[in-house]
Amino acid sequence: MTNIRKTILLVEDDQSLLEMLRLKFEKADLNVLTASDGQAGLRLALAKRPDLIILDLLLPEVDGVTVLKKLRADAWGKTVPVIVATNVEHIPALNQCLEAGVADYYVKADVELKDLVANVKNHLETPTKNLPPRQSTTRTAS
Amino acid sequence: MIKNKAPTAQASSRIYGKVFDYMLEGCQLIGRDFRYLYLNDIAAKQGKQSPQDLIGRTMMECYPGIDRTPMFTLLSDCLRTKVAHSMENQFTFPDGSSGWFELRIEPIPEGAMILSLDITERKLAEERMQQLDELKSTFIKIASHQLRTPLTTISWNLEQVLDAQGELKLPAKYHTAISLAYRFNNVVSSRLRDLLRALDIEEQNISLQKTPTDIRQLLNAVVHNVPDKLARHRVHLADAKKTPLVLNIDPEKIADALMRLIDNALVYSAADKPVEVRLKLTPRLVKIEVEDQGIGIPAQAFSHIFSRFYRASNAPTQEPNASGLGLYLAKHSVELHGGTLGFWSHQGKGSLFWISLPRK
Repeated sequence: MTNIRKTILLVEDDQSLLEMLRLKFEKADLNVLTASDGQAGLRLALAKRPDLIILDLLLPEVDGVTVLKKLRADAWGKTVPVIVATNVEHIPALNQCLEAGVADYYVKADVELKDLVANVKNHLETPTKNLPPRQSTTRTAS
Repeated sequence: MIKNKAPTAQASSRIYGKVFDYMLEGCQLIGRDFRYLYLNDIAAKQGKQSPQDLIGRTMMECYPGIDRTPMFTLLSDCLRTKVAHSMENQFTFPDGSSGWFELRIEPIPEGAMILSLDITERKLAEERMQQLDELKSTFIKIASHQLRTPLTTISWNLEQVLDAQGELKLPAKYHTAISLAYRFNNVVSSRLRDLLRALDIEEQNISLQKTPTDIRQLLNAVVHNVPDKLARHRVHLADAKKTPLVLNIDPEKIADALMRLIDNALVYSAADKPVEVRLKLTPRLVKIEVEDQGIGIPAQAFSHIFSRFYRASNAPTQEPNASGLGLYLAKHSVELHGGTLGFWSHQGKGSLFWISLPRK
């Protein structure tokens, strides 16, 4: 049985982070679409229907929470797994994301790239939704 | 009508004037029909009117709109029910300016007596303090978030290099250098996280996400995932039982609190000393103990140990760079669960910290 290559969409305005994520996910054998602002991200998501979306919250044009809400209002978008990866721990924004339904919630500065990749692959294989948010992961460096 | 009221006002002025003229508080007597019967100079000054202009007239005539204020509601209630009230009132003068007054409204045979203290300056100072506080919080939040993006870039880049060590085959000293840079970058990130969490506590912005959790499994996971790999072997878990012990808790918060206790025990004891982690049960409580044979806490520091940014006098010799937020955050997490975080310690011998959680 052959696996169809899955596609993910990265919505991230910081170019260096976007590039790093793109390379990492491509290396993990995924098709990667990228957008640097909320509006482009939403347009791309609805046009290309990726298998999963990684969404920043602080974005130019349209912010991440709005993107998420607009996705959830769409027939296809209401079920697509969305992983929020942000550096904002703003409780109201976090609650809004949870209400709209997210697969996971990461603070970028607190997560290892390889954990993020593992988590994305995990979600692509066994999709789960509406988990409680994770605030941080314990990291080791040696 | 006014003619009927005027003698009452004059009589009241005569009687009360002697008593209240020299008070430091403003004093006004209000008739049952809301007419000013008497005002001392202070009250008139506070109201920016002279007593002669007010006495005999109703409050509504003197201050149009006053009958729609919360003060007026309390005054009416006092006149009706003869029950005393007190309040802090922001009063808007006819010229648009405003002042703050602490009011006590007491029933008297003629109607009510209002004692007023001008607290405008105190209120303004409080407002300034609050604004400063908000500014401080906003500043920390913005600074932290601004710092997090470059920290993420540094962290992820270094992680890439470390992960590629197999291909790169960097000489050991460079690999060590990059590992160190990576580790301390993560230290900065976790300090920022602690700082933001302390702010969240201050702003009462923290909630629990409770879920039924096997406390034995959680304990095991925390002990086996001590971040400092070199120190991990020093931590001994004394609970060998396998029976699940399920509590409805926020697993991340309790794991975080426990990790902080273990981390402190490791940091503040010698590298050859063990750290014991024990699980104890009573019919109503689950108690997790973390005991070390470290430097201990000086008795004079006992009452401050859970304060924000506090570090005991002997702490920096062992760990010069720490935020002093760990125990504060841990205690808060445990208390949110209705539990307690306590300790005993003997300087030079060691400390025992415990987290105690209700079983129901």
